[in-house]
Amino acid sequence: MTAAQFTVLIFQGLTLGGLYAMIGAGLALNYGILKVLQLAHGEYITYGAFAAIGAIALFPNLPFPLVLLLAFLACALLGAAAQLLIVERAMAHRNEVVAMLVTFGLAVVLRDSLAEFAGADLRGLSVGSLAQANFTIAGITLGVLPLVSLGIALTSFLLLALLIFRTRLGMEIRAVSDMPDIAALVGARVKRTHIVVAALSAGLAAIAGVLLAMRSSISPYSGLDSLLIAFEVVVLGGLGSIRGVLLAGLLLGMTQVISTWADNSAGLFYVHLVFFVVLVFRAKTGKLQ
Amino acid sequence: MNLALDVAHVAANFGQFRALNDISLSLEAGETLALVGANGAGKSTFLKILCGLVDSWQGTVNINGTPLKPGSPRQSSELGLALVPEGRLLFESLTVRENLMIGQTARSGPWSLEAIERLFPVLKERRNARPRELSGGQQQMVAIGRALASNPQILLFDEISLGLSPAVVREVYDALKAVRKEGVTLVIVDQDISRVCNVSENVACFFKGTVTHYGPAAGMTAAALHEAYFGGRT
Repeated sequence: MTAAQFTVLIFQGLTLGGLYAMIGAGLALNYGILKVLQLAHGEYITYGAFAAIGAIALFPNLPFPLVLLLAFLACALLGAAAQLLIVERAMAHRNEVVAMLVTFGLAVVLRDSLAEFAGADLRGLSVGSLAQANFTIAGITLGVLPLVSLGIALTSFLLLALLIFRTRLGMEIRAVSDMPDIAALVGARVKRTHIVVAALSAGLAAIAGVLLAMRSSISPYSGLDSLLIAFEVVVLGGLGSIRGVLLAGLLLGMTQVISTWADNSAGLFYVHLVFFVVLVFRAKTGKLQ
Repeated sequence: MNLALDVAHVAANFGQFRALNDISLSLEAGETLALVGANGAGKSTFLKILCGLVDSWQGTVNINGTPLKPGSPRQSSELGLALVPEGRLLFESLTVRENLMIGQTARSGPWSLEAIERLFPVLKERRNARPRELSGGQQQMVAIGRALASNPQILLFDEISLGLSPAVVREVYDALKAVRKEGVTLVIVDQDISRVCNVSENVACFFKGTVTHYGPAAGMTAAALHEAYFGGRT
């Protein structure tokens, strides 16, 4: 392998890793703060992609940042409504399994609703000339689209970290995550915080969905595949750690790119294998949490 | 009479267990009440009811004339009540400074973050530390600071000196003098009965969920308190 090929491989690994990290970010946030494994997370990703596809179909000249914002807001609204009307009530039982089962039901209904109203065909997000655009540095040619995708992912993580660690809202979110009752006693609005977190999680999922649809085709039934990646990223990243999720996404992205280079037919096999090996190692050393 | 806290016929069950039975107490604004009793007597349950941390109980509680709803810690906070809980229960995801900041509410009063750091200078030195990096005494200071940051009208202490060295206990009680000067109503649970009675106007002794003694702390004889502590009504 030449140095140029190696650089391209690393670049591809980083961009795919950024996408995987984005896919896991919302799930990690939701689980880390609300302690609810949101099984509709994959559907939020799909809905984000379809929201962007729908927006571009209706307004072909809509600037891309606005498309991204619309998808984010649409899914944030959906996530907030689901939290307020369904998940919050399930959480009142203080039983993680009850809340998880409710999100499973939500996932199935969201998936089938999308298939019913939008059709089950595979769709992609057309980004026009950006798809073919590239640039050359030191004789190495790289795509603009993957770079944009990586930039969006890294910016999203940076904004999320700033929100959680540098704002009053972030402080309340962390306090509610630690001890909801005591947080309420010091004046935190626990229910409102839950809804904000759910909205933010679904909004992040929407961004991941847009990035995913720019890269490959997506159907109403793609949610489960996304959820699987998200789950692996979140577990590897340490169940709720923002930095851990970013690193885990990059690890899995890099694993997939390198394994595909070595074995073109490998698919996601080595990604799942890395996840499994780390999981077994963590379970044996008692570091699963 | 300006009652800060008026408790009438409060009772609470946990399943078949009667945790509190017919508790009636009242505190004037600025008064300090010592709450004593053996472990399991119901003192912490009583404080939890006041804080909105118990979902179901009977009786009435008025805080500054407003009826308290069961299971609403936020309402307790809005009514000016703050708790320094047993075991401190600090937010581990927050720094010392953030633990103080999260306690701040819209209510104005003398307890700015700077005033709290003047009361406990060590909190300024350790402002970026996590609670787990602090000693037990420093953690208690953060817990008191967090409660003061809301500028409470009623401040509850659950086991104020539990697990603290004598020197730290003295420091904490010295800090209480400054808090009392600001006219805050205090309810203090402590196993160090003589110390807590020395700073209180009234003392209530709990035994198996009932009040076996309630009256002025001054003039309370050791024999009477001993009898109340073990269930005798005085």
